[in-house]
Amino acid sequence: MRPACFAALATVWSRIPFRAVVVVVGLLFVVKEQYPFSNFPMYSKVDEEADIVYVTDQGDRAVPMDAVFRTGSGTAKKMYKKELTALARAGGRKLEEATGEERAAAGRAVLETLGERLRVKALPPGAVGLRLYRQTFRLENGALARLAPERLAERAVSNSTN
Amino acid sequence: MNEDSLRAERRWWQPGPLDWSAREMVWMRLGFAALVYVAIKWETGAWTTQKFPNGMAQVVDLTWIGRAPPGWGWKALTLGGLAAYVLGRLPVLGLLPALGFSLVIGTLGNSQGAINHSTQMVSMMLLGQFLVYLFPGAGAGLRPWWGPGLALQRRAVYAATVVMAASYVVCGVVKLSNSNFRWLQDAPFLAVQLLKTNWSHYHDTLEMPPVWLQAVTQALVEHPNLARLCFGSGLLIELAAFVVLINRRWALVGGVAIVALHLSISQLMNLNFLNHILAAGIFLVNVPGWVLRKAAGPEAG
Repeated sequence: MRPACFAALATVWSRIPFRAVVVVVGLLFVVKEQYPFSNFPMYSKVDEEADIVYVTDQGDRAVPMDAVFRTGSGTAKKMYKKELTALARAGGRKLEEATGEERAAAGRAVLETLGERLRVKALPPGAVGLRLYRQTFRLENGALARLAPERLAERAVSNSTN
Repeated sequence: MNEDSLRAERRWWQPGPLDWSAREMVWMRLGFAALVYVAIKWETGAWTTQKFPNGMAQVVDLTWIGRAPPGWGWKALTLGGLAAYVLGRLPVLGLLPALGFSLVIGTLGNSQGAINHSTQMVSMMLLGQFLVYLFPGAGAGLRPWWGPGLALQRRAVYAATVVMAASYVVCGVVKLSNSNFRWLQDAPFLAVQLLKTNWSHYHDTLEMPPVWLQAVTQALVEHPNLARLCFGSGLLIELAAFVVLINRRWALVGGVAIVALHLSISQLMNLNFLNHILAAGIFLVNVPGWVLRKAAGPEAG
């Protein structure tokens, strides 16, 4: 019986179109994000809102994040979401239900991490403090709107950082 | 039954390695070796922690490579190994340093709390080829470890193209599954993502997005079906990426479509897809392969 069963399975297998692709797609779909494997979920959930996280100086003047932190706003936002998810989960809540206190704590953690990568020389002249903001964009009534930014965290620039 | 007769008997929906010549595969390996080396983020000094471990970092501490970034000795070893791979000699040993650094550095970088998708496909293509050389199986010819024959080299290139095709297909499938199959219907909301990424780019560089881009974003908001057509064609390219395995012409068509997709997204959203564009150029568009076949005459197909 077993050989017949295997033969039948082999026949089915041989008839699957593009079977090598099917196998790898199945693997990536199940494993999800475990480097080097990925299901590449970028922009798979789209809704009417999107947000960014960015840094300004103490006077709310934007700083060029690529030059100052050697990383960008997109990475800062992913870090923020990861921190916030962990904090909210610890409090038994979903990301969307995070409190203002949790958002501030996540912001502080991100600003601290960015601070470790800070290149003071790349900062605009006169910058002695850093502020982390989150801004939301929304499509409402057929128009794009920029909501007022939310300040998440603030810290002084340490002179010991290079 | 030899490889050519097997290929002739196969149906289009049961693809396998194409009839890539030894010379064109040298060009492919040369291009891919350069891509692998450039894609590895050698500057690991900023990654001295792994706060949100991903992949193998969940079981192994990889921060050692953040504290001691690879120096010129390791880079030279990697380059030497890649050179052996390009020449078709000792591919298992040759690919080992590049694969090791690609996996360790890529994993540590993605364990910082922000998952970036710029290197996964290249690392998987590298892993796929490595596994083909490591487990050559039957019909691999003599001394497959020292100098793989044509059949094994073709299998390695085929593995890389399968990984590439599957990466695009799964990306499309996930769009459908994560959105409860509403992705195309919700595509007009991507105008918000456009606005977001352009402001994100502003905060990275302090350069304002060009006026035409603001006009495009507004047009997508005002004409939802235009947005569905534009983004829907991108989804179609992803879901149909498996066609690149059928034959050379489909590989060329699919490769050009993938490159065009990435270039258009790069322009609209200020995102960098250089590794993906180069991978598609090397293995799918395959300009050296077409030039060599043209030079070989009409009987080469």
